[in-house]
Amino acid sequence: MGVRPWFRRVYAVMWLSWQEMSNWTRPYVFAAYLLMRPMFSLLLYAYIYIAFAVTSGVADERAAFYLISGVAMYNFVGEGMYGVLWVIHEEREHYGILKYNYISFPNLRDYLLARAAVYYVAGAITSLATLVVGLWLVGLGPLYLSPNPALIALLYAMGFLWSGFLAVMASGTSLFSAEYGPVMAEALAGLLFLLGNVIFPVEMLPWWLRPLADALPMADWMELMRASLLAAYGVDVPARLASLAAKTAVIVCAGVAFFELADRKAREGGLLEASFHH
Amino acid sequence: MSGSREALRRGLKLAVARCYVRVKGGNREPSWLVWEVFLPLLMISSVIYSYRSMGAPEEFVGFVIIGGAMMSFWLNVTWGMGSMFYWEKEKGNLELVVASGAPLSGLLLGMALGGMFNTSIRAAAIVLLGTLIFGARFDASRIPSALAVFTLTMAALYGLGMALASIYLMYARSGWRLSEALEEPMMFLSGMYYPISVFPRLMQLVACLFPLTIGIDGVRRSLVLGAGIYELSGHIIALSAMAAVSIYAAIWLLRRMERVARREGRLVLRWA
Repeated sequence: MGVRPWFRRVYAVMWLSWQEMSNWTRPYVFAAYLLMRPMFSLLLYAYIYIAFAVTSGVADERAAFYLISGVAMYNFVGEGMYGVLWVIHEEREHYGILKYNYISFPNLRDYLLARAAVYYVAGAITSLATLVVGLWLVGLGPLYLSPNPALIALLYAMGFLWSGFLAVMASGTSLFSAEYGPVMAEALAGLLFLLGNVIFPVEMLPWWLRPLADALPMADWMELMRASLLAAYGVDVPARLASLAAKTAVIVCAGVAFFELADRKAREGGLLEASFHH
Repeated sequence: MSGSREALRRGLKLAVARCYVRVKGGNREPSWLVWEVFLPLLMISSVIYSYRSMGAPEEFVGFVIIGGAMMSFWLNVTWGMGSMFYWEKEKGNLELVVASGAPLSGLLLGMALGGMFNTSIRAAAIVLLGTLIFGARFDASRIPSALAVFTLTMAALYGLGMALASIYLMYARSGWRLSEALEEPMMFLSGMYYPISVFPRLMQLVACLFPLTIGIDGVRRSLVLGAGIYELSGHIIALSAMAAVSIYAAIWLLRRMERVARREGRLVLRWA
């Protein structure tokens, strides 16, 4: 397939994703809905710091920045992966249209990533919006930041790659299960939240969880994101970037290989339209 | 047999049938351990580690575990109760129930009882595992006062769930989105991870309009801070009033929404 037809198809899938995401209501209600969850999620976690500060009487700027930046940037990964992970379950179990979409875009892996692209864009917008609001909420303000736009853009791109292909791998598994697809989506999101330097440093984890945290790219990505937002954060950027690039490459290769195998087995087993009415 | 007695009989039979399916279906395979115990524990663990990384007092561990366990009831209310008519419509069960002549309230009652039973097991597992893993300390002598607050919270919450279900009967996919949209606001306003005393005064007043907030606060005060039944009398009065109002609202809304849904042909309308 040529490049132009491929992009036309990607655009069509992104449009479908956008419609599915937003056409249930009016645009202003949708905009409020889109911001409501991450904003309240931000409040939920920002108050962890505020509760600590109120009860201890200690204001810790670094802890406040750590928590707010983690929660804000997690939106990008969480929202995007949700966009990939729910497609199989939703299209096969809820609407029974997976087979038809498969025919119109004959590469399920790229279809999933194209569907998720809209969620990643929404995640990028909400991550920046919640960051600004969050910093204001804990008394730091957006001027506290010294952002490196090039590094932020690079990290968003790398974040799309590693988290998208990680979600593609999990989606490959969910082709075989009606019941466990959503469980895997939530479990993966929860694991990344726990093991990814999101609201506490991974050094706090018990020793037996550290290897898993070190193997996943989330912890590196999050620390680099913080360094890209605050120059004085104090992270060895080249070393972390190299580590993130290596882990991303491994996940992309594993995602391509695993999904190809799962896709072939699912087609052989006639699972594309096998609804289990979970 | 008079019409109202027959309707009551059918409603109760439907409630028992729905409750049976809920309990049986919810426990027949162990995946619920992952979905409803392991996943909440991931978030609870993250918050506990976050508090510990900042050096917060250890009583926060107990606060977080109680908040996390109680939150599972709210999730059951929105997803299990509120969205129930949406699911029943999607799967074609709702038209069968309507054709049977049994009142829809029976369906909601069965779902509420089954959901409450299942979620109680999950919440107990969260508290048990959370306590074992993080060493939280609870005052066992205050279990009776905690149970009194808990029971009233459940009545108010599931009444609210029934009212939500009636609304979703009309608004299907929008209702599904509403369930999603309500998740984080409720987690925040209920003080899931901290006492609501850290909120500004006005926000505390708004938060206290929700039974879950008062319920979590009451259970925490009794099990973590050792408050007795008399010290919780304000919680008990507020929750009793909320339970009465939400159950009345649920009955009124169900009647009204069912009438409108029948008139507009929404009882079998899917993907709307």
